[in-house]
Order: sequence, then C-alpha cells, then structure tokens
Amino acid sequence: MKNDHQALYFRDQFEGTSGAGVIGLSSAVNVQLLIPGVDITIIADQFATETTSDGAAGHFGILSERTNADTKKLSRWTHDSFEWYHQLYMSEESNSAGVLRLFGYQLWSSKRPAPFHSKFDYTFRELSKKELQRLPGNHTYGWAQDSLMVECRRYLPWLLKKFKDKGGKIVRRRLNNINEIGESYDVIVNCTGLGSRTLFNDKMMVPIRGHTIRAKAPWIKHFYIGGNGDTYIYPGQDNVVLGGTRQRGEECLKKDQKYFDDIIDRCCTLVPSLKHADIEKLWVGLRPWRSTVRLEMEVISINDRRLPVVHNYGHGSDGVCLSWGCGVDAAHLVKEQLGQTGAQQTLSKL
Amino acid sequence: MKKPRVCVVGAGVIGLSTAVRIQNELPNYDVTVLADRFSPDTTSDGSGGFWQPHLVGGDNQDMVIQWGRDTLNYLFYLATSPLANRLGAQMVSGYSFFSEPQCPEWRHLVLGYREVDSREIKLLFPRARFGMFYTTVMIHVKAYLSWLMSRFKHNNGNVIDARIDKLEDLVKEYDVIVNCTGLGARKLINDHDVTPIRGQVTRVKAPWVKLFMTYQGTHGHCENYILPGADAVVLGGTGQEGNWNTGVDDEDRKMILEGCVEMMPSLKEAEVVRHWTGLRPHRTSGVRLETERLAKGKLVVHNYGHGGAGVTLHWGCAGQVVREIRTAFTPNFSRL
Repeated sequence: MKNDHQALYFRDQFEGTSGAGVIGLSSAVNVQLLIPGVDITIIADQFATETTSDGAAGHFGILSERTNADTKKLSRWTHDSFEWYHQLYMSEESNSAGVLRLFGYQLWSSKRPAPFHSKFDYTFRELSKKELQRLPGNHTYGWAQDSLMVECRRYLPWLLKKFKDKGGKIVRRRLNNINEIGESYDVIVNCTGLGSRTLFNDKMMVPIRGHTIRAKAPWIKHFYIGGNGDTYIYPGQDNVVLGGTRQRGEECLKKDQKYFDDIIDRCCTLVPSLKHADIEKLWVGLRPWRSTVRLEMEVISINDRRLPVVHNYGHGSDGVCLSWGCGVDAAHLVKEQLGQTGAQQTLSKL
Repeated sequence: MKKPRVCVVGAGVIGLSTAVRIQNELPNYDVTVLADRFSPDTTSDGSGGFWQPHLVGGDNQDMVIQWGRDTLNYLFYLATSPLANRLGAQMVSGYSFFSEPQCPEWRHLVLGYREVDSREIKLLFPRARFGMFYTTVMIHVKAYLSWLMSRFKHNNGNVIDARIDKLEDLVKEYDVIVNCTGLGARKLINDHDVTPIRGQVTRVKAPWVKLFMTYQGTHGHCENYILPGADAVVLGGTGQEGNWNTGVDDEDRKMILEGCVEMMPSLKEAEVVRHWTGLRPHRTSGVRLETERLAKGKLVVHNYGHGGAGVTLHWGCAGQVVREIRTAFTPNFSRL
C-alpha cells in the first residue's frame, strides 16, 4: 500500500542567501533514511549548485559561540555531523562527496580559550614557539587543527542525487506565502534560512554578509586563519577559498571590489605567494544568522487546517558543521508527526 | 689575477645547488656545470621532493642531521616566500606509519612532531604498529631545478653538455672539480660502494588529498607513500637494492596502487598522469663529502651518494662544499 504521508521541504528562497542548501538537503535525506517509503518533495527556487552555499568554504571549524545556545544539542549536532563526514572521508566516495581532510593553523595575537569545535576535531593543540616563528606573521599564540572540510560545490549535488535515487521529488518554485502549499502536505520542514523572516515572520533572523574569493593555488596544503579570525585561506579540491568579511545587517549582494581587494591584501600578508594565485571567482552571500538555531516543531493553521511545521533554520556560518546532526533531529520530529510506530530505523551509511 | 675555475660535474639537485651556492658565496670563482643529463632527465626530477631523511647510508647520523637541518630551514624559507608557487614549495603535514616503533633523530627538525596513539592508528591505518604526525616541506623538484639553473645562468654560470670518462680529464682546465655525479661515481671514479636503490612512482591527479601518508614495513622493502605535490600526487614506491632497471615494472605499479588505495580508498579512481622510475644513488658508507687534493694545488671535492635523501640534504651539503673549497683551496700561483 502506498504510503501517502507526504512531507515537504522548503529550501532557502531568499535570493543569494548562503548555507541553506545544505540544511534542506540534509534534512530531506535523513527523513528518507528514517522513514522508508515516505513521499518527499523539496520545493525551492534555487537548487544545489545554483545556491550560494558554494561560496562558503565548509571547513569544520567555524563554530560561533551562541549566546543562549543549548550546548548539549549543539554538541550532539556537531558530533553527529562529524561522524557522518568522517565515514564519508574514509570511503571511496570522499572526493565525489567533496569531503577532504585538512590540517592547518589558527593564528592569534593573544592567548584565548579553546573553541567549541576543538573537542570534535581529529586533533587540536596549541602551537609551540618554534612553530609560531616558522609560520607567517608575528603571532604570539595559535592552534594547530586537524579536521575535515566539506565543499558544497560537490556535497550538495551528491546529496541531491542520493535524495532523488531514493525517490525524492523536486519542485522548482518560489513561494511568497506559506498558504500556497498548505493543502498538499502532511508535514512541512522549513529550511528557508533568511526566508523565514518573511515566510514565518521571524524577526530574529539577521543577515551577516560575507565575501569570498576562489583562486588557483595548488601549492597551498594547509589552511590558515589569521587577522583575529577574519582572514582565512582554505585549500579545497579545485581551488583555494580566500576570505572574508562579516558584515552584520548588510543585505546588498552587489560585488563591491574594495572588499575583495582587502581580502586579497590580508591573505597575501599571511601567505605572500598568494599574490601569484589566479582568481577564479568572486562571491558574496548572506549568512542566515540567528542567536540560536531554531530546530523545533510548530503547529500552524492554514485555512482551518492544522499543519505541523518542523523548523530547521538559523545556522549562520555553521550550516555545514551542523547540517547532518540537525537533519537527524529534524527527521525524528517529522517521524513523530507522521505517527509512525515500530522499531526506530538506525541511520545507515549511504 | 686569473679567477679560480670550478667545474661542478652533475646537474641534478646536488650539482645545481652546489653550483649556485658556490656562485653566491665564493663570488670570485668562475663556475661551470658539466653534465650529460639535465632536467627533466635527471634522477632528481622524478623524485617526490619530500624532506625526510630516507634511504641514506652510513653511520654518521650527525652530518645527516646537520645537512638536513640546513636544508629544511632553507626549504621552509622557500615555502613561506613569494617564490612558493613557482617552486611548488609547500609546507605539508601528515602521517608516517611503520611496522615497528621508531625514534628518528630528525624528529626535532620538523614541526609539530608527535607520535600517533593506538586509537588513531586503528582509525586510520590498522595495519601499522607505530605512527608519527609532523609538518615538513615538499618541493616540485623539476621546477626547483629549473629555477636553480636560471639563477646559475643569470650569475654568468657556464653550462657544458658533455660526458667525461674520468675526472682527470678536467684537471687541466679547472682548479676545483666538484663531483656530484651520483650513481655515475661508480664508473667515473670506481666507487663500488655506490649502488642503485630502484624507486618507482606513479603520479596521479588527486587534488582532494592535502595530507601526506607513508608506510614502511619491514617485509621486502615494503614502502607505500602518498605525497600531495603542487601539480600531482606522488604515489610510491619501491626500494629495490641493486636493481638497475629504469623501466616501469607492471607488478610494482600494481603493488603501489593497491598499497596506496588501502591507505586512502578515494585514490582508487584517481587519474594517472605518469609512471616513473629512478635509481637512487645509494652509498653503503654514507654520503661522500670530502676533499681530495691533487697536484699543483688543485682539488676534487666529492659530493655524492645521497641515496634517497638528495632533496633532503642538498642545501646543507652544498654549503659544506663551499666551506671545503674555502678552507682547502690555494691558488696555483701563490703560497705565502
């Protein structure tokens, strides 16, 4: 008998917003894993490689401290995501899934407490004086970190294929109002990032504009973070990501050359040979920031019909880091709503 | 007053770096490089360009450490300079696994050396019994040789493409002869202590690999390595003593690929760029770096037998050659 439970996903619809692609796709695939046979559709106006997720580096390390975060949940999401990526890294598919192992340096002007992600990395330690002398700049403190990077340029198409192979459906459409699709589905999963500002009236969503540059520099094998965290260099599979900016509240997506020039300057101060790198792409995007990630159930009413909505948005710059773990939680919330009983399906390797 | 004339025989990494250092540090000398093989056809060209003392003979670890330190410092400098892209000079980190515990002298020279705990070994490469993680430098040797040669020529260095049968042939024209002939020394000066250690590698396109991984087992010179260079990932390898075969061996090719795929499954479908074989110029009693005085105040300075550590020791050895010349050389015309 055909299972006529349907779930719907919004993907981010706010033009040019970054990061949402990974949340929506990860949630969708997790629902498929947890509820075999479920009928899922993703509705979005931008898919996978068209999203600006691919502007982000995807390094497993930027985990901003959240002021009123539930650290237990944050830990679980981070842990689950890292385990997932680690499995991919160890498999034959790592390069096609865009997962790569990366070692590198975070350079600071003064000592500071270890960041949240440090307990999830393969290794994390302070740099010795000898290392600091050898490394760029005159930094007096720093960390060596061995972790993973997930490049959305490959990861999102890879996830999308998994989704489609399991029967998932895609609808390309821009929604202006949640009422437009309220009738058709039993559960909605909202992964719209900044789009939730209008679609669900969430005033806590704040765009934080970022700029990155992709350049050809295959001689760079380490990542570097410097300039008090604002300057970074991540060597990816096809090119190196140079960044960045963190402009809170800015929404204009016009590519203003002065920001890119400044990024190049700062990166070249850290790694002088970058001045010879060929620039391939300039990118600007909006991190969908919220003081806490919103991952919870809400029941809304559309045309007198009760409609459960699983919210999964507001990941800021931590979309990649948290996506799989959040997807797992979102899938469980969906399953509850669909009233499934029986043995809980364990997550299996794809 | 006639300028003293130096002839460096050999144009691999040892010969060219020696020639360049002599030019830089003994500017009064006229330097010629004479060789029958030049980049990209030297043994150095195919090497991984990875700094790590490996397959070098002799008991004198002190000199290996000293030369190695000088070279590594120089390579670190290149890797953090604006030249890094041109030379493919990269700081690079990764794992070296072994079938037996190790305590290498050079662990103090590399950056961030640490032993790998058993949990990590199990996670990454369960076959190993011991592992280390560290940061070193890798260089694109072909690009490096090209750069050294252009520096050499820019400083009025003279290049002769020729083959000689004995070093004595050069004595008439030159005051100092520097012997950087590697494996060629076996025939050229009859040093039967020099034997080849055959190394075969496969270069592949695998730009997702950012960390190196090596494994050395004790059974039958088992060595597998994955070295991510600037233009390709070098997969290796072999260490076959006394094997003079410069062709590509199919069994070796398979063994290299299988061993590397075991370490990193994602390499399975990596596109092959090319296979290459080189004969490491190994010398059982170690690198021969010493001065031999000839008649009429002339000198031969030997600088050969670096085995698998040519890139690793080259700059330090070149510096030593300069010191040997400086202290030993007395021009023909003056003795006071």
